[in-house]
Amino acid sequence: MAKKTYDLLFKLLLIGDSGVGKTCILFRFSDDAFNTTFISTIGIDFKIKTIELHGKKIKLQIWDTAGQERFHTITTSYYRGAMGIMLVYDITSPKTFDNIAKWLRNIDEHANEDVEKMILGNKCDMEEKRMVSKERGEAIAREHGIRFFETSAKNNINIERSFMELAEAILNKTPSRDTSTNHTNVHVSQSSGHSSKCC
Amino acid sequence: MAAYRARIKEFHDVLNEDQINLKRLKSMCFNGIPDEPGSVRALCWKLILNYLPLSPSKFLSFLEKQRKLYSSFIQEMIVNPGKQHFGKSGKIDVTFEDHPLNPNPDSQWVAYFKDNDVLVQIDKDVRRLCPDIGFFQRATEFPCQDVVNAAEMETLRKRVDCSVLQSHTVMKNRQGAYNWKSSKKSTVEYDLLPDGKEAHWEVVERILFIYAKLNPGLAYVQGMNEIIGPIYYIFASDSEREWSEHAECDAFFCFTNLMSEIRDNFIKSLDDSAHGIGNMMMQLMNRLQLHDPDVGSLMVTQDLKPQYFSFRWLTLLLSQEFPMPDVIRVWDSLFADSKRFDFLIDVCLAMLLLIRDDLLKNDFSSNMKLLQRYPVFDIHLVLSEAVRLQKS
Amino acid sequence: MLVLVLGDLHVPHRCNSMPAKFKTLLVPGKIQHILCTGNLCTKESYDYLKTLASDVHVVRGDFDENLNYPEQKVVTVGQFRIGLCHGHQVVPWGDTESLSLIQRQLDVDILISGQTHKFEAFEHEGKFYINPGSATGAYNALDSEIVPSFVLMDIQASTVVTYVYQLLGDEVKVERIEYKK
Repeated sequence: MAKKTYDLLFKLLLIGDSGVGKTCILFRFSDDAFNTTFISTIGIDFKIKTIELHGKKIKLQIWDTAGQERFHTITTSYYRGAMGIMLVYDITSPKTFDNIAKWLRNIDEHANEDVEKMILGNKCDMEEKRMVSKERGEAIAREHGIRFFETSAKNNINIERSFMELAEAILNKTPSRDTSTNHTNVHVSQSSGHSSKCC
Repeated sequence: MAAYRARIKEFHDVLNEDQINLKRLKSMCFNGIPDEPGSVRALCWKLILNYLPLSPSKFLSFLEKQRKLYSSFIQEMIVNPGKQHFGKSGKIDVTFEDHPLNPNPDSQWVAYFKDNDVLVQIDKDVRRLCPDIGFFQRATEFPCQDVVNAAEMETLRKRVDCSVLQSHTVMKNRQGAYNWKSSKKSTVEYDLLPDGKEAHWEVVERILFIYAKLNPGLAYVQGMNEIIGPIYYIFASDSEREWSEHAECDAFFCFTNLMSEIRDNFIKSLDDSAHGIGNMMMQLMNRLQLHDPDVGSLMVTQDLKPQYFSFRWLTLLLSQEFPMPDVIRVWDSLFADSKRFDFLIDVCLAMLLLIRDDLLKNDFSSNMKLLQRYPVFDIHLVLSEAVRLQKS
Repeated sequence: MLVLVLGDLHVPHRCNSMPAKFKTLLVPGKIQHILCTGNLCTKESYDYLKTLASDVHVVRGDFDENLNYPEQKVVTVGQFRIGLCHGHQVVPWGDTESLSLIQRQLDVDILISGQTHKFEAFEHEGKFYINPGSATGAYNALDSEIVPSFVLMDIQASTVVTYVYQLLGDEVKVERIEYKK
């Protein structure tokens, strides 16, 4: 067997309407590049990136899903194992924002109860085409107690940061094998959840 | 070279008979259609996809009929509201007729906006069709005259275009002189052609839109773009103008015929039916277990579920797994398969067996990468392995 | 391509909001661009327009809070050059000759202006002039009986079909006027 080159494995999932830029976000994070000519994702796609957080090597296994309704039966089967879910909308398309409620219901139905969630309003570089204000994004995130960022895969805004925060939130929940007790973990996750909501 | 010429001649001979022997043609196509510069492949596909009649003497009248039919689809399906008073001058009260904000469900404008919902999705996908070849971004020599030349009809892409208008702000300075300032160039994601021209992707957009309108139960599902893409590409690259001129219409009907056989793959509620995609994936896994129990059980232990990779392989007839020329070669065989599309499963199985050593060595992540970005192989190796499996 | 033309809202100073009948007609997903003649006057009105279409062009009216709006703007829609200005600078207000001077200075096919709170659409020497009126029916210096109105332009190739929406009593009246280049 090959030697394990990481301490922890986190499974993340990207969901949201088609065309909001899920694949571009993932590509920016994993390859630090931007490409407008992505073909549409059919079914599911997959990337790996190893990060370091608090001295731990964490392997992120990130699943990128197709947005269209037809693929939901195929994609919802990945919800179960996911430890973190990023829900993406497009700030230039109100429809993709309106559908957030629907995606959140999907998460409630199919994902683990303690899954870490995050909402991303992508394409924030396209200010002149914006139709969903940042305030509306923040409001829906606050209402559901979820972290929120506006991102741009194109201009590399908040991409790394959002993945790191999601990973950190999962890490804080993960029972550590060394010393810390359950009690401190709960405390940490609460405070980090609170502080990052106001970004 | 002599063998190649003989093969081309063999195709020409079969295609020039009064009554084309479809069975013979299929068995020849199955082994690959020659990439000669003429129309052989396009013609063969039109025959084996059951579009053209088998007697060439009937081609002309048949094609004339189909092309008229397709042109009437364009006229009827592309709703073009607000034209009943076209050309009339003066003020006309249309309160009780139709107008863009009419909420009445019978309104042509309501239908128009509803169509736009489907169109938005198609538009997103066709603009990003086959980015590895420049073909779809280039202008077609044969734009649809009904659309590009009609003053009262707008092209489909413009209907859902949400770009920012080009603008200048004008400031008068103290001396009364005018200062012109161009608005900052907005982010253009795709180059657009001038009016009167159409890119190939726009033609594909129209084909998919007409198909969606004619099949409202299915409408448009992502991935259909990857099915129509190679078909249209082959037809539009035909060196004989009398064929390439009508690539849009011919591709539409061939696509329709092909979809009638594979449409179940695109319907969610049929995923678990006998012909649905779930069943095909299961067949593939069962056969893998049979032919290579080691890899078969690896798939189970590593939890490499067939939907992680073979969903896309099967739904798109492998069109996203190989470069375009290889996809075309694979499709020669798939379309010629007498039990369409059993051979598709053979090809998928061959693909798995050819990378078995790597699969057995790798961990889950590396295997996922391998399966999702299938390594470059000589496509003929994949196909001959598939043929071996088909016979076994 | 549908372009909404409106202006002289004067919210909240002279009116609370657009008439409900107009608001139910104007829903997102239909209009691609908005040309606004100004006097919105607050950010809230601008934000409302942004929910209807992402591409909003505004020129400054004499009561606009936002001083960054330009005085005049020229936008290009297909074959048409369209000039936009509020019109309080035009003396006398709404005067055809004064407007056609601006039309020539800006070198546009269509000149859109506001200020008079009275809908107009006419051709003059081959050019087209539109005043969408006041979308809220706000009063102006000369008149308190204002009919709320806005305009929707359907622009295709060399033709513009202008739809005028006017609130007469409780009913919305719609008229169409065609202009060919």
